[in-house]
Amino acid sequence: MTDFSPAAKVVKRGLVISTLGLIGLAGVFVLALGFTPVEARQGLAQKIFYLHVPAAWSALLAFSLVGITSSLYLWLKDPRLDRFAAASAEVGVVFAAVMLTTGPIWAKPIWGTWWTWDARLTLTLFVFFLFLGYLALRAAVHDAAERARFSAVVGILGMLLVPFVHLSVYLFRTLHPQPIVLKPSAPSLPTSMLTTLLVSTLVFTLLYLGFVTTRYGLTLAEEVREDARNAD
Amino acid sequence: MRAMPIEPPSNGQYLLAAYLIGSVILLGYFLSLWLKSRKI
Repeated sequence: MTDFSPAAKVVKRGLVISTLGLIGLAGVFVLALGFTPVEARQGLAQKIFYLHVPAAWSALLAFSLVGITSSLYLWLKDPRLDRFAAASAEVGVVFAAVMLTTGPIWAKPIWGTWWTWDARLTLTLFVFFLFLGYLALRAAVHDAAERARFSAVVGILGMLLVPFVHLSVYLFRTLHPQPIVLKPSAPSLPTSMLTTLLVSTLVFTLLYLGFVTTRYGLTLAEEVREDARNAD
Repeated sequence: MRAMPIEPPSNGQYLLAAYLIGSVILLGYFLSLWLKSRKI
């Protein structure tokens, strides 16, 4: 009989963390709507920032960790690293989808256009497509060792784009706002706005952990099932 | 001459749309994981 219990435990843990993250997200909405001031020039649309910035943080964290674990996989050949990279890439694409939909919704009332082909936006879209390609590659290659090796190379290349996304606002002329927290000088935000942003970033990191743990456990369960099928 | 106070623009519908879409994506992904977990 196939033993799914280790995978099921990991999935259960992931779902509990994700649920806590989703409850935290509801708390972030309450904080953003009830406890932060309305920005004088941007109005209520500025509060999109409490969702957009942490989603961007989680997506770039996810893609960076894909690259790091992929590098380690090529060195150590530990299948857990490949499994983690796959989970992190999928979750990163989900957060990137949140970032790429909430950004234009903010841009329309503030810039007067949904989208502009400036460096930050274009690079972010490229990274999103690159990791969609990463997931397509994983689905297309059936040999586990080959899939892990090929996708590790793509994962590392994807990670190399992450610093360019963050620094693009300094490197190129761009419409996108400059960093207000992750910058050399102190954060330039009133305390209530900064607190809400930091709480939201923590909640999104928790969601990332929950989603990745669940996805990791599900892949582990699929592998156990596959091994049992091959043994029959 | 006294400076006029700035009246924030009324664009709450964009905030609502962004929070709604963001929540739907995250909740949808969570539900897809949960449904897959039931098949283990």
